Amino acid sequence: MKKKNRKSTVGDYLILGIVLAIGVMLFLFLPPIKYKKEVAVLVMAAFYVFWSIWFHSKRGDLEIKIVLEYIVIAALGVVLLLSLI
Amino acid sequence: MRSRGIWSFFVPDQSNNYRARFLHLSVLSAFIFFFLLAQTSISLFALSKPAVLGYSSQITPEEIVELTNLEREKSNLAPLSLSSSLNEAARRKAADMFAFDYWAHKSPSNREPWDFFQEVGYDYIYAGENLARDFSTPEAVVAAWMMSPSHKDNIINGQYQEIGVAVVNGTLRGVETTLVVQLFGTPVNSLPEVKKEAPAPVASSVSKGEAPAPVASSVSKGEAPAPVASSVSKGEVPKSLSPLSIIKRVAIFILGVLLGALLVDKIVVERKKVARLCGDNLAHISFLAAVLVTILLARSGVII
Repeated sequence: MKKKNRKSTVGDYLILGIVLAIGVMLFLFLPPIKYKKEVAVLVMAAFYVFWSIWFHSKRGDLEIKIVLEYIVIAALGVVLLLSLI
Repeated sequence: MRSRGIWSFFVPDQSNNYRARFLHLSVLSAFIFFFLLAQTSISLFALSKPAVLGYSSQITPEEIVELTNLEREKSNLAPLSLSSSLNEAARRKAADMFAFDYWAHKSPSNREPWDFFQEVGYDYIYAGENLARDFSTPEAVVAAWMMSPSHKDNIINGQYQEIGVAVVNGTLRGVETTLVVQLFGTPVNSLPEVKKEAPAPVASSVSKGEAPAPVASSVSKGEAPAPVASSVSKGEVPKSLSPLSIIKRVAIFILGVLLGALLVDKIVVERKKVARLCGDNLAHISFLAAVLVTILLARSGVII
């Protein structure tokens, strides 16, 4: 049972890693046309928050305080990236 | 004892409720506030003291022309010859954008790119326009255009014979920027075999298929707005410290601190086997590392 849970967690991180990698690739390789990169950043941040809700609800420790933490981290990422586009 | 003071920002213990202080919601929010404050202050300082924080642009019109012709050469196309009229039209277009504070092919008063051709007396059969801003090197500008199919169409269009480029520094919507205006054209007198009744000007880069009006608008010759910015001429030594590069360094510093705190926090908590209710450090590290990689590898600049 313990082994199964561990596999499941690795899978969750893998999904997060793959989507973040796609987000980075899109940001770097999309032609820098107005708003395309902004959309890529916002989608990546939104995915991160939704992933966290799914991840913690699966883990059974979903709390508003935790979701807020992810929202603030995602907001920080958005602010940093959008300021440099 | 060791965890007090600065250590409590990195090391989780009883004093910080077993969570590195840098990862507390209030401190994370303060990072956002601090960054926005730093960004605003740097931008305001750059506006008030333009001589201290300059532009980091190392772009010259000659290099843009050279690189454009290099791309054409790769497609077995003849190089474009530099037209002083198109250079002037490009300069006027850039000056118009700064004067009327817009970033678009069409001005707020509905002036089309082609109006600037007409203003300088350039009668064209084919015409096109590529725009770019905030790039630091000519290679990055041309590479970005070549990545966009519509802009690439302009660069490797066999119907064009001449080119004009302006690289102008100024302030657009409160932000110091370097605009690059690239105009393409084929003058009427260069193609005597083309029938006069069949002019077919080529649309601008982004509005592919949208034919520009072949007849000049009511803008009269010499009506160009007063230029508000100076052109970058070859040989001018650009300043290496731009507001954007300072902001980038601040962003990298913040990300470095947070990644360090997340890593130390994770290691200490795993060693002490502390049970706590908070976000997953590995997830935060993945997200912030993705942001850091993007910032380190991304090139600034936008094209339309």
